[in-house]
Amino acid sequence: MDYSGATPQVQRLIDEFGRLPGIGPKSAQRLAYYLIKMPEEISLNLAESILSVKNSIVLCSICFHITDTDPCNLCSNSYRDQTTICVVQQPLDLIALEKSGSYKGKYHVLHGAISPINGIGPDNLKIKELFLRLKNEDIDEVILATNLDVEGEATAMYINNLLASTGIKITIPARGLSVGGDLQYADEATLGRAIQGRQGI
Amino acid sequence: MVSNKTYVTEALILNHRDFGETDLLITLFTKLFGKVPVVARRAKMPNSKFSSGVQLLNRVQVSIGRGRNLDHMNECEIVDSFQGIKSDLALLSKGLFSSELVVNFIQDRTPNIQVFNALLKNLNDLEMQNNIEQSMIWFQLQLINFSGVLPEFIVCINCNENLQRMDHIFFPSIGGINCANCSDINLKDGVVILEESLGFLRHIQRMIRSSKSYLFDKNIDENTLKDLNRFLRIYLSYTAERQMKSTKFLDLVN
Ligand SMILES: [Zn+2]
Ligand SMILES: [Zn+2]
Repeated sequence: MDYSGATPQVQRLIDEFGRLPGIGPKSAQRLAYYLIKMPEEISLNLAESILSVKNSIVLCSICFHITDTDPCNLCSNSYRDQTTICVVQQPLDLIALEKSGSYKGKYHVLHGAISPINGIGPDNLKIKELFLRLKNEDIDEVILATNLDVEGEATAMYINNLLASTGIKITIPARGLSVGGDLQYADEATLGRAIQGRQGI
Repeated sequence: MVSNKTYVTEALILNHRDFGETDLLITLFTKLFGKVPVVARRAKMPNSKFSSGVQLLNRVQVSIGRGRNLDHMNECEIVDSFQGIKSDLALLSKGLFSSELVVNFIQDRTPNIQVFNALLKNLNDLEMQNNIEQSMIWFQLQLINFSGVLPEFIVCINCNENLQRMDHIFFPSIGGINCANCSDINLKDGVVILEESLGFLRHIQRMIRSSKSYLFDKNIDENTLKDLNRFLRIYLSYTAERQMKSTKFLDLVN
């Protein structure tokens, strides 16, 4: 791709846009020049909202979901089922499950999956934190809602093996979700059915 | 159909990483064209035609379109998904270790059918739980052999005399062992290798030189296996100039 003609500042903006998911070099260029043409107050608003999001966001110290209050709204909501934890890989998986409206318990976000080839093991995920919760909270059931790919299933297997001796009921979402693909992209109805029809391992 | 725009081949899925929002960049080990990076469009979507095919360690039949920069996947049909391996963490960690070794030892777009067949055999052994430990060692030796870095285990690297049956010190930097008469005090980073391990490595070296296939007909005790694995790990990271990332998980679950 030839960017000749862009000043260093504009090129930097293009490069930054290019880092975003789903943005190729062409789109990055288009966005950058679109922004340059925008009225100043609109671009200032955009810049400010990005900064304020970054500054106000923390991970919930209980479930590790992204939140602006700690504990998050889900963890501090006493109307939710306090005896069930649904384990997911990413905050976006949690959001997809919440949208399905089919699950009313607690969550635990691992922030990834075991991926030996990329050097990501249990220590790099919020697995220790999960076991700490299981020790301290009164949990009857753990739902392992990791992605249905090799890494997600390995993560579920690893947690399941460690939980086997605890007597806590372990379930996985029902079939219907297809192999591979990220949970966050599953449609709400399928996701809802899968979580309601969850079954023991 | 094979044209200059598309090619069809058998392949193993070695690795994948996110590529944009919903695409995956797959590292394929193709039987005919060697290791090839290929974009699988929308493979992160659950309803994608690729999502189940491009799972790690799958043996697949693929049709690939040549692109200006990157090739892209047209079709991907599963031949074997090795469910036995994937439902056992110890086996999975071994399969992924073998696969990472290939990623590190094989150049892109250089056909290497022997290593392809060796990896396929290794995965089949893991799947059938057939001499798992020996298969792992055999695979690693095949890989270093076909990468042209198989050390000398039978004779002294300096004087060519047969090495005595005893424990020896192996030097990765010279790819072999000096006999007692030729010992060189300037050599660094020697690795002790037990007599029993050396006996097994010699056996394999003879098999390889006579192009015979190894039938896992040797009995190796636990201690020797441990020593062989230790030796191979040191030698492989020396030749690859890096540690394999998957060894951490391998050690954790085995
Ligand atoms: Zn929370
Ligand atoms: Zn000598």
